[in-house]
Amino acid sequence: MSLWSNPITMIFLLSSTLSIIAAIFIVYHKSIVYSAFFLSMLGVGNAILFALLGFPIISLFHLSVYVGAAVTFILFSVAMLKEAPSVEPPIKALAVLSVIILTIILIKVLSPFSAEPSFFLNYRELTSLLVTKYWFALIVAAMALMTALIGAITIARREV
Amino acid sequence: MQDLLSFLISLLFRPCIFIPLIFPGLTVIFIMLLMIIWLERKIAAKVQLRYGPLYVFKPLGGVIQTVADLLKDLFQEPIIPKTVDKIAFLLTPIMLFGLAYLPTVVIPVSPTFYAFRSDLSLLLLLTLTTLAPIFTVLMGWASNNKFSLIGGLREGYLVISYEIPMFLSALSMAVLYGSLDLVDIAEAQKGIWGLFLNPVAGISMLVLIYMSTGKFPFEIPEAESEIVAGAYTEYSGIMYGLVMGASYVKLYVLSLVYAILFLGGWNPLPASMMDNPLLPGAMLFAKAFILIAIGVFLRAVYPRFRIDQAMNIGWKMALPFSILAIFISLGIVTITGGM
Repeated sequence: MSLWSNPITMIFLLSSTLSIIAAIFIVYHKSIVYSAFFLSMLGVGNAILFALLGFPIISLFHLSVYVGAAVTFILFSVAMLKEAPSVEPPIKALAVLSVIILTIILIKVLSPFSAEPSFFLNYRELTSLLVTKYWFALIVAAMALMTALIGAITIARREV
Repeated sequence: MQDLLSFLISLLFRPCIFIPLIFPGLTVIFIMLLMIIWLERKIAAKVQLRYGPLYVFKPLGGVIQTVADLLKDLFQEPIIPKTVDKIAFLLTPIMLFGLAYLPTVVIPVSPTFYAFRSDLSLLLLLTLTTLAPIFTVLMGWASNNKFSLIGGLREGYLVISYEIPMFLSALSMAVLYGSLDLVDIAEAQKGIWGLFLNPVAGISMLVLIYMSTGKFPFEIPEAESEIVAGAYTEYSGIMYGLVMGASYVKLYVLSLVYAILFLGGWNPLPASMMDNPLLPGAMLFAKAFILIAIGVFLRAVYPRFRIDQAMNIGWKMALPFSILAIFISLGIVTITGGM
């Protein structure tokens, strides 16, 4: 099967193009509400890329957390604000140069790897790995989240 | 000619076409929308000692009144106000309806008839339902109208309140049955339904479904007496039909999920009836329809909560209850050694 008739390759090309175009629009669109919308498009593109890599559970969490929740919050906040005039620092040439250099480096570094999924991440294996091998990190993460929750409740109750 | 016809019919009954296009997809959604809006008006009328819609096809109690309303909406001129952001204003109703309808492809109709089966299908379904509120908030902003903006922001507040407890309530059933696959979960309820095993999750999920679809008593984002029609204020004609339909479609999809998670899905049909997808599908639809009917009945009997009361219910009642539901599931799994 040729590279172009492979559906995985086509989905990869479409989603990566969507991600890149969305990323450009996030930076360049003059309205911040539209930028937030393109952020959700970027999230969708990235979620498809995660799924193609063989991590469907990460892809779904990416979709629900970074698109479903985060973009709703961002839109929710910016919809209440007045549109601010955009300020553009005069470093366009530098930005283009750094993008070109980064592309070359990434191509050099990543060229030996293929886009085929190396393995399929099963959520059962992932959870058993988390509670057996990485249990300490899990407890630390849970405690950090709990602290953030307590902090949020304290701020919301205005007791400080 | 005969061959072509039989080929087309067999094509239509393939799961990957039947599910998105017929049941639970577009055709049934369309009929359900027409029926449920009529039923909503009729139930409210009965409770308030009125007749409700009656004159279009009187023998059946005005049942095709909604068809007449739809025709009116279709041929009405869609008015686009000058001050709106045109692209976002026109795109959001389509995206909203599309995203409300999208999760139907994940819903199985019988143990063998599904368009898509994965060991993560419940998670995929919940994820897809979280994407639509973005467009309600965007709609409120794009309409450039105070009522719309307030409606959109109220939707945002509600999302913050219902999303996490709803995920937790649904996932507590996944913990109980040890699977995120909707087919496995429905099949595991051959004996006792999930609602009786974990009633806390069942009740909190039901309340949160009505909250997420803006049904009474949580009809806060489109409170007519306060903010005209919320985010939908500036819409007219077929675009209004789309945005109003989207919340009913979401209610329909979540009711189907509820029927699978808590009401046994296609059970208690015997295994011999499972070969044809129509009977299990009808069973699933009947359960979902009862839930939708309860949802529209609430309009007639409940007043509307304020937004802060709704947020209190989400954070102070639904969240602790859904965490409790997870512990109940864990307890049952520990005692019985897995369902």
